[in-house]
Amino acid sequence: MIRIYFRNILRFFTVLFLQVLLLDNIHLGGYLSPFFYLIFIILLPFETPNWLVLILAFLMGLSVDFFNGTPGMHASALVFMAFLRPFILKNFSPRDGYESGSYPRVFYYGIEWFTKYAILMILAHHFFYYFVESYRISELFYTLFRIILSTLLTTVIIVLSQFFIYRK
Amino acid sequence: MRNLLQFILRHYIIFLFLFLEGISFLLIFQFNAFQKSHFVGFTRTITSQLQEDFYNLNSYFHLRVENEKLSEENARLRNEIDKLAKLEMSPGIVKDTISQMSYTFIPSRVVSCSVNKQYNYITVNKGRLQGIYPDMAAISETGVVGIVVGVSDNYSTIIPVLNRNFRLSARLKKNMFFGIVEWEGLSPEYVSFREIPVHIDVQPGDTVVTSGFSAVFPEGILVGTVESVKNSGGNFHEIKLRLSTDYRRLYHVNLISFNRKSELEELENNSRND
Repeated sequence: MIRIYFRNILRFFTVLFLQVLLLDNIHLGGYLSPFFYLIFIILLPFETPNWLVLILAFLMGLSVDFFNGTPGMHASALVFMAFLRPFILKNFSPRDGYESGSYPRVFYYGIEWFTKYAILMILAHHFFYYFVESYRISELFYTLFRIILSTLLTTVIIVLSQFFIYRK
Repeated sequence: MRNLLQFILRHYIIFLFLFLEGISFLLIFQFNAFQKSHFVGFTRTITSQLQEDFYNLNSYFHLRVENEKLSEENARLRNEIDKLAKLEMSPGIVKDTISQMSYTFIPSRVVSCSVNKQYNYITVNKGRLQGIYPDMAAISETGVVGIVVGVSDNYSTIIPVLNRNFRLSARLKKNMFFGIVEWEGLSPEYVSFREIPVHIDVQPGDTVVTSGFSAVFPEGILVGTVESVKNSGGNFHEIKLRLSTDYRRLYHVNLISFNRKSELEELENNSRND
């Protein structure tokens, strides 16, 4: 049990620094950058109480905000995503529920399940984030375009990272 | 009362969610452009050190390109010295130029920079202790960069052209007509140049430079070149400018202080009061 806490605290900081030091410097096509830090909320164990998911999302978002100088923007989008997480997990659960001792990863539930789960979470986050960022409805199609491209980019990176880091 | 408490306890997740979102949106709306720069300045004092260390490591990979740029600039400056030396030999030129210097340049290095947001900011590694104050202009060797908005002891934040709150007064170099440069929030390579009336001849390839009206930027700093000109029936051209500065490769930034700013502002205020 302690190992799970320790592993997640370590993951919090690894993901945060990977995001703010390395990935924030990637601007594909000038305006797309992958939001890898979402993986922290995506990979939290099934048993994590909902309130803890929300608080962790808020802390993670606020930390990324601090480095980016965008007070509240990442935090609000990530809290929104964390709020939807139990509903999305319930929707995709196998007939007998999730096995105890398993985690929401490719290794346990296969790439198809993981991609479906991840893409919905990421879409929720990007939808919230980009509409708060652009802050106007007049550029609806441009914003939608950005949301779709960014979602694809982030999903690809997050799904691929499963094969690099979390082999078991 | 008990029912209310029970209701809150049963749905505590929703209330926690609304509470956290409330804080986040408070943060978003609390900070308008001005206060935001202060927030940025405050958090940057904490995060900049880390980012600077990483940037130092990263800078080794760019040494070659940077060297080329610097040697180009050296060559250009040497040419200018040469020209000035020739001028000095001709009679009738005042040689005491130090006391008349109206601009001072302070070199600095970029610590962090973004181009993918709607409201981008740049942080550089010079601050109040090095003589930086808000409203100084920032230029690179290729042209205009932005204006200093927040200053901490050793770092300062710049609001670049690639920020939707940014406006810059600029003019066409060939016929001196002036307009306003603004970013539409789309590509980091292009900005729009407004308020040039339709009867003025603008061709793709024309150069646009700063007007020097604001007393922030010196006159004649390169902004960019005209990429395309459209006219959809209004009174003004719709001009798309290609920025001369590539913000994605920005590394050295010169901060400019205008030494006669107080004098100019006093004069303008006086004449406005009359």
